[in-house]
Amino acid sequence: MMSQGDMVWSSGLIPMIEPEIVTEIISRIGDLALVIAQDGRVLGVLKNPNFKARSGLGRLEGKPLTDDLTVESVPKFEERLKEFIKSDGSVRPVELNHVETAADPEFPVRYSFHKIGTDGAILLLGHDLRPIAEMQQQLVAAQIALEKDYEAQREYDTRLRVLMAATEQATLFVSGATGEVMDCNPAAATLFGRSRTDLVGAGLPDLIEVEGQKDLLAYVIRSAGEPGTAAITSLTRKTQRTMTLSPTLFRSTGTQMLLCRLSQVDGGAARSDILRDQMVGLFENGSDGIVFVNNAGSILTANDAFLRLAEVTHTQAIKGRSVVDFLSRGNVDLNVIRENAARTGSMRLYATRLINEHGAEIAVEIATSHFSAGGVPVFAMVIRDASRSESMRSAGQQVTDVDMRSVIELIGNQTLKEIVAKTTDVIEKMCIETAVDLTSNNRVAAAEMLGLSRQSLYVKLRKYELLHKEADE
Amino acid sequence: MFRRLPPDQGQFGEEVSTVVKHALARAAGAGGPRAGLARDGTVLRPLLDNITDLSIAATPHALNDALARMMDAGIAPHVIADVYIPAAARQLGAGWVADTINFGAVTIGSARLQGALRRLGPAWQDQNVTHAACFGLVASVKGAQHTLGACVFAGQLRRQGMSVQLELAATPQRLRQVLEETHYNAVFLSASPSDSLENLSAMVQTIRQESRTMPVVIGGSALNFIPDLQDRTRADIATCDLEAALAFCDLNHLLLPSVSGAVVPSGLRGDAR
Repeated sequence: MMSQGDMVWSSGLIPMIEPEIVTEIISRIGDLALVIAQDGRVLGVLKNPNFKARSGLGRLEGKPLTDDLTVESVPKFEERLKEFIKSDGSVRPVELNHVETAADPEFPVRYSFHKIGTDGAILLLGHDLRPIAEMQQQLVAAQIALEKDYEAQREYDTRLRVLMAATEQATLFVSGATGEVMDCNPAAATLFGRSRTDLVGAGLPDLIEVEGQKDLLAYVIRSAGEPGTAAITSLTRKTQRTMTLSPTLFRSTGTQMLLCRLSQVDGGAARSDILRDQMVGLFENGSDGIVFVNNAGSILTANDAFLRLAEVTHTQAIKGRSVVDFLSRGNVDLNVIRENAARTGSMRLYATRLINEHGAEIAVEIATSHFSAGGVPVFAMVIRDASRSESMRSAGQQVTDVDMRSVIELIGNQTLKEIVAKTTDVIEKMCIETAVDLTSNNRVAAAEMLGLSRQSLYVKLRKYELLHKEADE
Repeated sequence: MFRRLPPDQGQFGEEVSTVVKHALARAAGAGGPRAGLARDGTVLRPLLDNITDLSIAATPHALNDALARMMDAGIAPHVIADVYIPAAARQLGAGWVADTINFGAVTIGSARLQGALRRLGPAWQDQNVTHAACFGLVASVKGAQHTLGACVFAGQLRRQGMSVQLELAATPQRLRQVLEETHYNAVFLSASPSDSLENLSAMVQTIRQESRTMPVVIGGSALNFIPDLQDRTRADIATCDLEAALAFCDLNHLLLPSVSGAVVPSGLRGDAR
């Protein structure tokens, strides 16, 4: 209907309608219509002839509507009623849940409020939300089923982790497409001398090498695909230990995966004790020098870190030598260490100086333990470079020196006012960029986060050229 | 569309940036807030509003992208799981109460938030699978419309080192079966206003029949509407507070520093679908 070109109803255009017909019209506008008093009592119930109402709606007449609402709908209704009574007749529609009865489940209705001009009575026009509620129920059921599946998957994941943890053989799951380690067990972490976190994501070719095979991943996949193929002999890159790799190829959710089991081949029996492996890892990869000497002071074994400290190029160069050769006070040091360690079982933090192959001296601290290994008394010396901690402290100062240099450069070339202004600009820009990033480019949220008005944020975005207008805007 | 310009390449850009970064780090480090939370431990309201809006946005992946950005920015997954997701769910509920959000949108938003929680879940796999300190059962009743609260609580218990079994929409028969199979240190019942008190009481009764000594904790959004929930269901304690629940069950030795005490702005307490 049009009136003076506007799409509005004007009273002159609405024909006079008989009251009984009005009732009919109202009943068909919505699914359900309630006439209530301002105190919330139901005065009348009208339902659309096509509406499959639940039984007992008629019994609402004379009773408070809240008697038929669920507990969370009561405050909603009361709030909206109060608001409507105070207002000029314009409030948001309200979604209310009518309670479940023996015969019918709970059902939701969206009611709009209307003044009908008769003694303050209010018309609630209701639209049945049961179709949406049914979809909601299906969604909730699907959600619960998903959670149950997820819980079941957690259980399988836990079983896998327990199995992996209990497996003494180093085991890796490797992506067949990228060669990346997807998962590993503690034995594998020990073998490669890395934490699990570091190992996951590392490339298999970065961990091991196979002689003559440039494309390691392809070779491993090919070998896994050939039944009856013997285990692959490989070398760990870091420690050059010989390993046998037994790969198994499988598919998981369409992607190719490799299960790689690694065993050491080191000229002796494979070590089964995880702790032993860890100690070996410490000996081979530790940063402190470790030397095992007999009662006479002859070196039985020394690790790479000791060789580096002593600047000895090869293990052969220390074979048969006495540790006395490397102690600045010679036999004096050895006697002190030997007697104390033998008496109490260990000696902590003996400070002395180590002489390397070139005659240079390094401040060291030695911790010694005395025990029997294979029936033979052994002294294990852990030799820590004490001079290194001093140089690290200097390095810390160097970091600070760099920072101070930055400040000095600024001071020397700009006024304080200019420095502060520039610094403030950089801080502002960094904070604005971070806020915008964090709120997914939501300008309103970013402004609120920064304590700015939207206009102020806009101005700053322009200032720092953080606004980019698309060509078609 | 916002875009970043390359770093300031001005004459003193590098020095200024270095000084600025250190200054900001010092300002943040001097008793500053945990990443993602205000100094008083409350949520950052703009972040929360953003999450809530995106949970009901037309773009299905917008919420996941926003949460990924938050984690990239250094906000810990447990802050998101323990604080932001439940707060967003409550905000959706408040929106329904105020009729600014219809219940269809609330349902979709809650489902997306729960999906986000599932994706965060692997971050706290049961830490001590072979040496779990204790065992807990978290359950909701059959017909429950709200499952997010139970999932959030189960995640919190798992991070405290508890091995948790989660039973959603459980019947008394299922509960009995579960209790017969495993001894639990405590049972935690999740209750929402739309749950039948009769069903909740039946669950508590079933637990009592299996064990008179096992503590029964009832919690959830129902507490906002039914203050005497503990008496009406005959649970041992009614609380939404993790610390209080564990203390009651004599399990508070498990507690690690967590964000369970973070405060949500008032006015966000409401029914979350």
